[in-house]
Amino acid sequence: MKTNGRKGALSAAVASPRPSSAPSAPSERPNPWAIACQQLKVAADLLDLDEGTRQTLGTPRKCLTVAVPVRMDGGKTRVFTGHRVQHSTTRGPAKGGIRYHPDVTLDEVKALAMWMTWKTSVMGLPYGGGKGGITCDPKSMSQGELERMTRRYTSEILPIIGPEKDIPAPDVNTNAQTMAWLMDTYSVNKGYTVPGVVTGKPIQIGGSLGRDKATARGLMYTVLYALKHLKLPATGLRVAIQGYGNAGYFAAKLMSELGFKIVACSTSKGGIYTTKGFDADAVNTHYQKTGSVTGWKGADAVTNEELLELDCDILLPCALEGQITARNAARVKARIVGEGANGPTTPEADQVLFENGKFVIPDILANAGGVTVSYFEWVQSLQSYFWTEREVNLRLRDLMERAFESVYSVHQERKLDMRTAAYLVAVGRVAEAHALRGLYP
Amino acid sequence: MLRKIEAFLTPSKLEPLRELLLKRQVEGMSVLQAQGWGTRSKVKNGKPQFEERVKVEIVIDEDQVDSLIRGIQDLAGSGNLGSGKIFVIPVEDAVRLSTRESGKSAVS
Repeated sequence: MKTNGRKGALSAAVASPRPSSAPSAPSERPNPWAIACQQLKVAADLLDLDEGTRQTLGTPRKCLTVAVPVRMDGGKTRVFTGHRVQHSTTRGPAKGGIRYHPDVTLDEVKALAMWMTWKTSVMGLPYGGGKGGITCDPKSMSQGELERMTRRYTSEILPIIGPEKDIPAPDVNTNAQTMAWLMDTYSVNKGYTVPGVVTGKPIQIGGSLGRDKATARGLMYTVLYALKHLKLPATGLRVAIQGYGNAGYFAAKLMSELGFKIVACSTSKGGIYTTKGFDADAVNTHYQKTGSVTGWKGADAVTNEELLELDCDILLPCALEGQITARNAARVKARIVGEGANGPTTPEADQVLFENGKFVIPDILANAGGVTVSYFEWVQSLQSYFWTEREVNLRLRDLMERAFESVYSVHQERKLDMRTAAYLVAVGRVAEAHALRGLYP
Repeated sequence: MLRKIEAFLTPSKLEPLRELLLKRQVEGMSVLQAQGWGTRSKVKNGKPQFEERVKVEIVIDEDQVDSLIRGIQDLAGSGNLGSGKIFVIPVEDAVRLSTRESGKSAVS
């Protein structure tokens, strides 16, 4: 089924980049900053933005690169490189995670910060976009080394972060404990406790109820709204989920409660598939016990690649980026693809999915439940007044519905694919806010 | 926080719902006979026809709301058009006249 001949503008343009001022890729791996700039250019063209606005939106407001010297357990000192980028603060304080990974580069952090600007904008949250990272291999580091690195990095970026300026959160290889160290370091330096400086904190020190399930819950809502518009009943639809971490497992659990049939899931070690559907909790128990979902009784083994091509109605890539590519996109059978992960679909694959009539719910919308409940956590931290989990969930649902409908109406009115429509909504809002605020001085 | 569940159901679901509430140790329910039409009702002479329904009212603590909704959904079954609807309404307070307890303890 074709999507009524709608244009896959963003994916088509990114797949065949036009000349741009974006930096060229330094290696074979696509430069994320170049991709981000190209995506912005497509949206800016469709919105007919003036050159000044394009330059403003295409330039991070602040990039801070810091040396992070750490005394290692063996007594030697190692110096890591860290970054914190604030792409935009036009609609509010910068918001975005901090990742620890050997591949972290400034260009990657800049791109991720720009994508956060669009994510917070499409959700209508009063934030800009930011991101941070340290180039390191956290899996080879002890807890003590990670704590010292986090604390020193926090102290180096301390002048530019804060509840009114830039609010970090967990990302790749960082977690609630990392955020607790960050919050403590910031607070000790300020002289008083500042829970609003980070989100994704442990509940005991000001985290929000419902934060752990937020990404999955948001993803589930976007799928439900897609089904409603596509006039498909939820009951009995078959769902395949790549990834069984926080987003994947909770998506399986929440969606099976609504009558969906979860037929496949996977982790980095491989996956399982059964046409009968499986119990999300039983598989999770097996995963926690054995470190893998494979070997669970009553299901066949599948690879991560095979999972993407299974006969199912809804495919939820909730693992890594770049999973659906030009190589396998034509074999995706699902009618709906909900991007629980960031960037699971390459631009080339996006175009193929679009041409094959697949309804792709783009990452900046589909997985925005996480940052939305982060926003709720920040609000609660600022007020020192905490909500029930049900209250968090209902507010999340309402914001997801509002965001989905705003993107869907652009998708319908301008005959664009959902990803391009989401970018149009997001970039348009930031451009409008920029115009309203005006240029200082 | 207290919430009132207002469920509009087909009369045949009343007994299973009573059993569900007893199993969950919910203190009570009110039942009102109702007539109504919705988007799935039969249409005669261009007008949707009134159908027999029951309106069930249950006041419970917010913590119990989601699981009770799931329970009602399970007994109503899914995919059956015209099964009914559930509304959740905030309740400012509750008072048990016999003991003068108020709030959560007045309903549990």
